[in-house]
Amino acid sequence: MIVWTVAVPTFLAATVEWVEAFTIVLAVSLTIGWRGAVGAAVTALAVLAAMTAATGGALSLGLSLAWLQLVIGVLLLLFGVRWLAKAMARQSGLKALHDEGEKFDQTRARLSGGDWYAGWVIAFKGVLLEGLEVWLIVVALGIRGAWASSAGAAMAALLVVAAAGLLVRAPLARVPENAIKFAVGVMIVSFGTFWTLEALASPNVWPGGDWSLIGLVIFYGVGGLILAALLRRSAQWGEVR
Amino acid sequence: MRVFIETLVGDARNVSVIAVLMLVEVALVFTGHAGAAVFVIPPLTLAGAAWLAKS
Repeated sequence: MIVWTVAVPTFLAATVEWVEAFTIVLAVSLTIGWRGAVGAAVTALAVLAAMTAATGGALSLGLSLAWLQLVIGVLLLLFGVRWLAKAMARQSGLKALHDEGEKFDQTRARLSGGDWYAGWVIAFKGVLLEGLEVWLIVVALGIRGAWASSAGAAMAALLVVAAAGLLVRAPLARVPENAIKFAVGVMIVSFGTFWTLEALASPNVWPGGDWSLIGLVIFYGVGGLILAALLRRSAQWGEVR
Repeated sequence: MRVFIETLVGDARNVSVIAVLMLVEVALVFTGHAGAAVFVIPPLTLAGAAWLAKS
Protein backbone atom coordinates (compact mmCIF):
# COMPACT_ATOMS: atom_id res chain seq x y z
CA MET A 1 0.00 0.00 0.00
CA ILE A 2 1.32 3.45 -0.88
CA VAL A 3 1.68 5.89 2.03
CA TRP A 4 0.99 9.14 0.17
CA THR A 5 2.21 11.43 2.98
CA VAL A 6 5.61 9.78 2.48
CA ALA A 7 5.54 9.19 -1.28
CA VAL A 8 4.62 12.77 -2.33
CA PRO A 9 7.37 14.70 -0.49
CA THR A 10 9.92 12.02 -1.41
CA PHE A 11 8.94 12.15 -5.09
CA LEU A 12 9.09 15.97 -5.21
CA ALA A 13 12.41 16.23 -3.37
CA ALA A 14 13.94 13.45 -5.44
CA THR A 15 12.76 15.10 -8.68
CA VAL A 16 14.63 18.32 -7.85
CA GLU A 17 17.82 16.46 -6.96
CA TRP A 18 17.69 14.09 -9.96
CA VAL A 19 17.22 17.06 -12.32
CA GLU A 20 20.43 18.58 -10.94
CA ALA A 21 22.24 15.22 -11.20
CA PHE A 22 20.95 14.70 -14.76
CA THR A 23 22.24 18.14 -15.79
CA ILE A 24 25.75 17.16 -14.65
CA VAL A 25 25.60 13.73 -16.33
CA LEU A 26 24.35 15.32 -19.56
CA ALA A 27 27.17 17.88 -19.57
CA VAL A 28 29.77 15.18 -18.86
CA SER A 29 28.34 12.86 -21.52
CA LEU A 30 29.02 15.47 -24.20
CA THR A 31 32.70 15.31 -23.32
CA ILE A 32 33.43 11.69 -22.42
CA GLY A 33 30.45 10.02 -24.12
CA TRP A 34 27.23 8.46 -22.82
CA ARG A 35 28.82 5.19 -21.80
CA GLY A 36 31.29 6.79 -19.36
CA ALA A 37 28.81 9.30 -17.95
CA VAL A 38 26.05 6.73 -17.44
CA GLY A 39 28.58 4.29 -15.94
CA ALA A 40 29.59 6.93 -13.37
CA ALA A 41 25.93 7.72 -12.61
CA VAL A 42 25.01 4.05 -12.19
CA THR A 43 28.01 3.49 -9.88
CA ALA A 44 26.92 6.45 -7.72
CA LEU A 45 23.32 5.16 -7.66
CA ALA A 46 24.57 1.73 -6.57
CA VAL A 47 26.49 3.35 -3.68
CA LEU A 48 23.34 5.26 -2.69
CA ALA A 49 21.21 2.08 -2.85
CA ALA A 50 23.72 0.25 -0.62
CA MET A 51 23.73 3.19 1.82
CA THR A 52 19.94 3.20 1.94
CA ALA A 53 19.76 -0.52 2.66
CA ALA A 54 22.56 -0.39 5.26
CA THR A 55 21.42 2.68 7.18
CA GLY A 56 17.76 1.72 7.06
CA GLY A 57 18.51 -1.71 8.47
CA ALA A 58 20.91 -0.39 11.13
CA LEU A 59 18.51 2.31 12.30
CA SER A 60 15.58 -0.08 12.44
CA LEU A 61 17.49 -2.62 14.53
CA GLY A 62 19.49 -0.55 16.95
CA LEU A 63 17.23 2.14 18.39
CA SER A 64 13.90 2.40 20.15
CA LEU A 65 11.12 4.17 18.24
CA ALA A 66 11.42 7.36 20.32
CA TRP A 67 15.18 7.65 19.72
CA LEU A 68 14.69 6.82 16.08
CA GLN A 69 12.09 9.57 15.75
CA LEU A 70 14.38 12.04 17.51
CA VAL A 71 17.42 11.28 15.33
CA ILE A 72 15.41 11.31 12.12
CA GLY A 73 13.45 14.38 13.26
CA VAL A 74 16.66 16.36 13.83
CA LEU A 75 18.00 15.26 10.43
CA LEU A 76 14.75 16.33 8.80
CA LEU A 77 14.94 19.73 10.53
CA LEU A 78 18.57 20.18 9.42
CA PHE A 79 17.54 19.40 5.87
CA GLY A 80 14.09 21.00 5.73
CA VAL A 81 14.96 24.35 7.34
CA ARG A 82 17.80 24.73 4.83
CA TRP A 83 15.51 24.07 1.87
CA LEU A 84 12.81 26.35 3.25
CA ALA A 85 15.34 29.15 3.87
CA LYS A 86 16.78 28.80 0.35
CA ALA A 87 13.33 28.82 -1.23
CA MET A 88 12.33 31.90 0.81
CA ALA A 89 15.57 33.68 -0.15
CA ARG A 90 14.98 32.93 -3.84
CA GLN A 91 11.32 33.88 -3.69
CA SER A 92 12.14 37.18 -2.02
CA GLY A 93 14.84 37.96 -4.58
CA LEU A 94 17.65 37.84 -1.99
CA LYS A 95 19.20 34.93 -3.87
CA ALA A 96 19.23 34.23 -7.61
CA LEU A 97 16.96 31.45 -8.87
CA HIS A 98 18.75 28.19 -9.62
CA ASP A 99 19.66 28.02 -13.29
CA GLU A 100 20.16 24.52 -14.74
CA GLY A 101 21.47 26.01 -18.00
CA GLU A 102 24.19 27.84 -16.10
CA LYS A 103 25.11 24.71 -14.16
CA PHE A 104 25.31 22.82 -17.46
CA ASP A 105 27.66 25.46 -18.94
CA GLN A 106 29.84 25.48 -15.82
CA THR A 107 30.25 21.70 -15.91
CA ARG A 108 31.09 21.84 -19.64
CA ALA A 109 33.68 24.55 -18.98
CA ARG A 110 35.33 22.44 -16.24
CA LEU A 111 35.65 19.61 -18.73
CA SER A 112 36.99 21.66 -21.61
CA GLY A 113 40.31 19.76 -21.38
CA GLY A 114 38.56 16.54 -22.37
CA ASP A 115 40.04 14.40 -19.55
CA TRP A 116 38.00 11.13 -19.47
CA TYR A 117 38.84 10.29 -15.84
CA ALA A 118 38.04 13.82 -14.62
CA GLY A 119 34.69 13.65 -16.44
CA TRP A 120 33.87 10.30 -14.88
CA VAL A 121 34.68 11.61 -11.38
CA ILE A 122 32.59 14.76 -11.90
CA ALA A 123 29.57 12.68 -12.99
CA PHE A 124 30.05 10.22 -10.10
CA LYS A 125 30.43 12.93 -7.44
CA GLY A 126 27.57 14.97 -8.90
CA VAL A 127 25.11 12.07 -8.77
CA LEU A 128 26.38 10.95 -5.35
CA LEU A 129 26.11 14.40 -3.72
CA GLU A 130 22.71 15.21 -5.22
CA GLY A 131 21.56 11.69 -4.35
CA LEU A 132 22.68 12.07 -0.72
CA GLU A 133 19.73 14.36 -0.07
CA VAL A 134 17.41 11.83 -1.70
CA TRP A 135 18.96 9.11 0.49
CA LEU A 136 18.33 11.20 3.60
CA ILE A 137 14.66 11.71 2.76
CA VAL A 138 14.11 8.09 1.72
CA VAL A 139 15.61 6.84 5.01
CA ALA A 140 13.96 9.49 7.19
CA LEU A 141 10.46 9.14 5.81
CA GLY A 142 10.62 5.41 5.18
CA ILE A 143 11.84 4.48 8.63
CA ARG A 144 8.38 4.09 10.17
CA GLY A 145 7.40 1.20 7.96
CA ALA A 146 7.00 3.07 4.69
CA TRP A 147 10.13 1.85 2.90
CA ALA A 148 8.30 0.82 -0.23
CA SER A 149 6.62 4.22 -0.52
CA SER A 150 9.76 6.30 0.06
CA ALA A 151 12.18 4.20 -2.00
CA GLY A 152 9.57 3.63 -4.71
CA ALA A 153 8.83 7.36 -4.98
CA ALA A 154 12.57 8.16 -5.30
CA MET A 155 12.92 5.51 -8.02
CA ALA A 156 9.82 6.81 -9.82
CA ALA A 157 11.27 10.33 -9.75
CA LEU A 158 14.53 9.01 -11.18
CA LEU A 159 12.72 7.27 -14.03
CA VAL A 160 10.57 10.34 -14.79
CA VAL A 161 13.58 12.68 -14.83
CA ALA A 162 15.70 10.27 -16.90
CA ALA A 163 12.87 9.75 -19.41
CA ALA A 164 12.13 13.48 -19.69
CA GLY A 165 15.83 14.28 -19.96
CA LEU A 166 16.43 11.71 -22.69
CA LEU A 167 13.46 13.03 -24.67
CA VAL A 168 14.51 16.67 -24.35
CA ARG A 169 18.29 16.03 -24.47
CA ALA A 170 18.88 19.33 -22.72
CA PRO A 171 19.05 20.63 -19.14
CA LEU A 172 15.57 20.39 -17.62
CA ALA A 173 15.31 24.12 -16.98
CA ARG A 174 11.52 24.29 -16.88
CA VAL A 175 11.08 22.31 -13.69
CA PRO A 176 9.72 24.85 -11.14
CA GLU A 177 12.54 24.05 -8.76
CA ASN A 178 11.95 26.84 -6.26
CA ALA A 179 8.24 26.10 -5.82
CA ILE A 180 9.03 22.40 -5.33
CA LYS A 181 11.82 23.21 -2.85
CA PHE A 182 9.45 25.46 -0.90
CA ALA A 183 6.72 22.78 -0.77
CA VAL A 184 9.15 20.01 0.18
CA GLY A 185 10.86 22.25 2.76
CA VAL A 186 7.48 22.93 4.36
CA MET A 187 6.57 19.22 4.48
CA ILE A 188 9.98 18.08 5.77
CA VAL A 189 10.12 20.78 8.47
CA SER A 190 6.59 19.81 9.54
CA PHE A 191 7.58 16.14 9.91
CA GLY A 192 10.78 17.16 11.75
CA THR A 193 8.95 19.44 14.20
CA PHE A 194 6.26 16.84 14.83
CA TRP A 195 8.62 13.91 15.39
CA THR A 196 11.23 15.67 17.57
CA LEU A 197 8.64 16.97 20.03
CA GLU A 198 6.71 13.70 20.03
CA ALA A 199 9.96 11.81 20.74
CA LEU A 200 11.06 14.15 23.54
CA ALA A 201 7.68 14.61 25.23
CA SER A 202 5.10 11.91 24.55
CA PRO A 203 3.03 10.57 21.64
CA ASN A 204 0.07 12.62 22.93
CA VAL A 205 1.82 15.99 23.05
CA TRP A 206 0.33 17.25 19.79
CA PRO A 207 -3.32 18.26 20.08
CA GLY A 208 -5.26 16.23 17.52
CA GLY A 209 -2.48 13.65 17.16
CA ASP A 210 -1.33 13.08 13.57
CA TRP A 211 -3.81 15.72 12.34
CA SER A 212 -1.48 18.33 13.80
CA LEU A 213 0.82 17.60 10.86
CA ILE A 214 -1.70 19.28 8.56
CA GLY A 215 -1.79 22.29 10.87
CA LEU A 216 2.02 22.45 10.81
CA VAL A 217 2.10 22.25 7.00
CA ILE A 218 -0.39 25.14 6.77
CA PHE A 219 1.48 27.16 9.38
CA TYR A 220 4.89 26.75 7.73
CA GLY A 221 3.44 27.19 4.23
CA VAL A 222 1.52 30.39 4.93
CA GLY A 223 4.15 31.68 7.35
CA GLY A 224 6.94 31.03 4.85
CA LEU A 225 5.10 32.89 2.08
CA ILE A 226 4.40 35.87 4.36
CA LEU A 227 8.02 36.01 5.53
CA ALA A 228 9.31 35.75 1.94
CA ALA A 229 7.08 38.71 1.01
CA LEU A 230 8.35 40.67 4.03
CA LEU A 231 11.95 39.86 3.12
CA ARG A 232 11.33 41.05 -0.45
CA ARG A 233 9.82 44.30 0.83
CA SER A 234 12.70 44.75 3.25
CA ALA A 235 15.23 44.19 0.44
CA GLN A 236 13.44 46.69 -1.84
CA TRP A 237 13.28 49.23 0.98
CA GLY A 238 17.04 48.77 1.51
CA GLU A 239 17.66 49.43 -2.22
CA VAL A 240 15.54 52.62 -2.17
CA ARG A 241 17.42 53.96 0.84
CA MET B 1 34.49 15.06 3.31
CA ARG B 2 33.47 18.63 4.09
CA VAL B 3 31.22 18.73 1.03
CA PHE B 4 29.71 15.40 2.10
CA ILE B 5 28.89 16.71 5.60
CA GLU B 6 27.60 20.04 4.33
CA THR B 7 25.34 18.21 1.90
CA LEU B 8 23.85 16.26 4.79
CA VAL B 9 23.52 18.85 7.55
CA GLY B 10 24.17 22.23 5.92
CA ASP B 11 26.64 24.91 6.98
CA ALA B 12 27.48 26.13 10.51
CA ARG B 13 24.63 28.66 10.53
CA ASN B 14 22.11 25.97 9.67
CA VAL B 15 23.44 23.67 12.38
CA SER B 16 23.34 26.57 14.89
CA VAL B 17 19.68 27.27 14.15
CA ILE B 18 18.72 23.64 14.71
CA ALA B 19 20.91 23.44 17.85
CA VAL B 20 19.10 26.45 19.35
CA LEU B 21 15.73 24.95 18.40
CA MET B 22 16.57 21.64 20.04
CA LEU B 23 17.91 23.34 23.18
CA VAL B 24 14.69 25.32 23.57
CA GLU B 25 12.62 22.21 22.88
CA VAL B 26 14.53 20.10 25.42
CA ALA B 27 14.35 22.90 28.02
CA LEU B 28 10.59 23.28 27.59
CA VAL B 29 9.89 19.54 27.71
CA PHE B 30 12.10 18.81 30.72
CA THR B 31 10.77 21.75 32.74
CA GLY B 32 7.24 20.45 32.29
CA HIS B 33 6.17 22.85 29.54
CA ALA B 34 5.78 20.37 26.68
CA GLY B 35 2.31 21.80 25.96
CA ALA B 36 3.82 25.25 25.44
CA ALA B 37 6.47 23.81 23.11
CA VAL B 38 3.70 22.98 20.64
CA PHE B 39 3.11 26.72 20.20
CA VAL B 40 6.69 27.96 20.67
CA ILE B 41 8.73 25.65 18.42
CA PRO B 42 6.96 26.19 15.04
CA PRO B 43 7.26 30.04 15.13
CA LEU B 44 10.86 29.71 16.33
CA THR B 45 11.63 27.33 13.46
CA LEU B 46 10.11 29.74 10.95
CA ALA B 47 12.09 32.62 12.47
CA GLY B 48 15.26 30.53 12.11
CA ALA B 49 14.49 29.83 8.45
CA ALA B 50 13.86 33.55 7.83
CA TRP B 51 17.16 34.43 9.49
CA LEU B 52 18.98 31.90 7.32
CA ALA B 53 17.22 33.26 4.22
CA LYS B 54 18.26 36.81 5.04
CA SER B 55 21.85 36.15 6.16
